[in-house]
Formats: sequence, structure tokens, C-alpha cells
Amino acid sequence: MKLNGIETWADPIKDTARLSEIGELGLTELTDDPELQALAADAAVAFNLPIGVVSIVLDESQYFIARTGVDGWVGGADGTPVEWSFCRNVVRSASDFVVEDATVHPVMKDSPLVKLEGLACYAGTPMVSSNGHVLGSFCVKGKEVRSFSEDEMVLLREYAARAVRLIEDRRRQVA
Amino acid sequence: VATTTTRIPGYGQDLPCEDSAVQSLAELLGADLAQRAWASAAERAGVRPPVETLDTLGEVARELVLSDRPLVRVAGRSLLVRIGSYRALSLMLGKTA
Repeated sequence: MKLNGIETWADPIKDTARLSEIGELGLTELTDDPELQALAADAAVAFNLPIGVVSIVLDESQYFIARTGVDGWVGGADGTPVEWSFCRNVVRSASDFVVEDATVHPVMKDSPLVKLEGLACYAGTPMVSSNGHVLGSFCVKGKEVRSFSEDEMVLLREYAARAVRLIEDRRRQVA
Repeated sequence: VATTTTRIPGYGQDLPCEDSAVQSLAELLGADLAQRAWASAAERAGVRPPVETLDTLGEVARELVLSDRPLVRVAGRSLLVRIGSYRALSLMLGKTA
């Protein structure tokens, strides 16, 4: 993006075309969807981690439309402010974001999700709509330091693709 | 519930308020549309501005989520999550929210 001839960086999180699609897909109301819930739970089991989340990254918050293992203040709020989220990094980069030890990660170590909830490891991958917008992140997380293999990331991307198919199919049925 | 605190110590989240909510809407819609969307949601919620408590802010946010404009719904949900997060974290940290 150029402003007065100077190259500037437009934050993808604030991209109104992306946010409009999130609204049009009904992702501001969809909670406790059983198929997405099952997908999040299945992913947590597959990765042997306590938490699996389908996180929609909004302009100022991340919103958990499906999750397993999320409780306490985070679960009660259905999400978190976007500035605390791991998933914002997935949307900003439109690529995988992996944290093996959040307590020493330069971007994430001060997040309340790390300091209060004790999250240590995270792997998230973009959920990309048919229109090419990154809606959010399909992610797994846990409280132990952990690495993620390339095979595991391939699996996570498959989960993300299935989540997007469910979201878009559901929208087509409603329309 | 009175909004007596302004920031969660150490975590940088400002207390959600009407001004910040309208500003967030304006970033998505422009100032004029944002003001109109906010006033309309407040009216539907039966809330008379200025909105001074988290409870009433939440009522307006829930009306925003019901809007027929996708970007307004996004802003409303964003605000609801931030209100819930602020309230839950404040309570956990032993503060009044």
C-alpha cells in the first residue's frame, strides 16, 4: 500500500474485505457448532495436547467459534483481545506460526495467555476462505514445551481446510 | 456494574468504553457511519448515551452483533469478547469490573 508515494504496511488484521467476509460467513454468531467442535477436539487428541481451537481473528479480538480444553477467564469470554493472541501472527503472516516455548518467545512471552494461563507451546495454521482471505487460525496448544514436526503441520493444515469447508458449506446451506 | 477501573495492571487492556468502541467502528466504517450504527444499536438496546457501564456497553454490543452490516457485526463481536475478557480477568485478579 502506498500513501503519498511512500510504501506503508497495511495490517491484514484490519483488512475490511477480510473482516467483511468473516461477517458474511456468519462467524460472529457461530458458537458451539457440533462439527467444528468435533474437529477441534479431534485435533487436540491427534496432537496429544489439551487444547484445540478454531479461532476467528476479528479486528480487535480473537473469537473462538469452536474449542476444546479452553476454560477459565479465556473460555468465559469466548476469546481474547487480539493483541494477546497467538493466532494474530497467523493472520498477519498468512502462514503457520509455531511456538515451542512461549515463555522465552520474544512476541508472546508477556501475553496473559502465557503468564496467567501457562501456555507454552502453540501451532497454528491459516484458515483461508475460497476468496483468499485468512479468516483465522486452526490451532493446538499446550502447557508443556514441545516441538512440531513437518508431518504434524501437514495434518494441522488438513484440519484447517476441513474447518473452512464446514464453515463455507454451512453458509451455503443457510443462504 | 460501574466501570471504576481503567486498565488491567500489567496486561495493557484498557477498559472498554463508548469512545473506544465508536472509534473501532469508525476504523471499519468511517466516522459518520460509525456514529449512526452506534446510535442505532444503542436505541435498539434501550440505552441512552453516554454509555457508562460495562453492562450497558455489552447491551449495545449485542445489538451490533445483530446488525445487517457484516462489519458492524464484526465490531460488535470484537467488543463483546473484549468486555468479557476484561471483566473475567479483572475478577480473577481481584479487581472490581
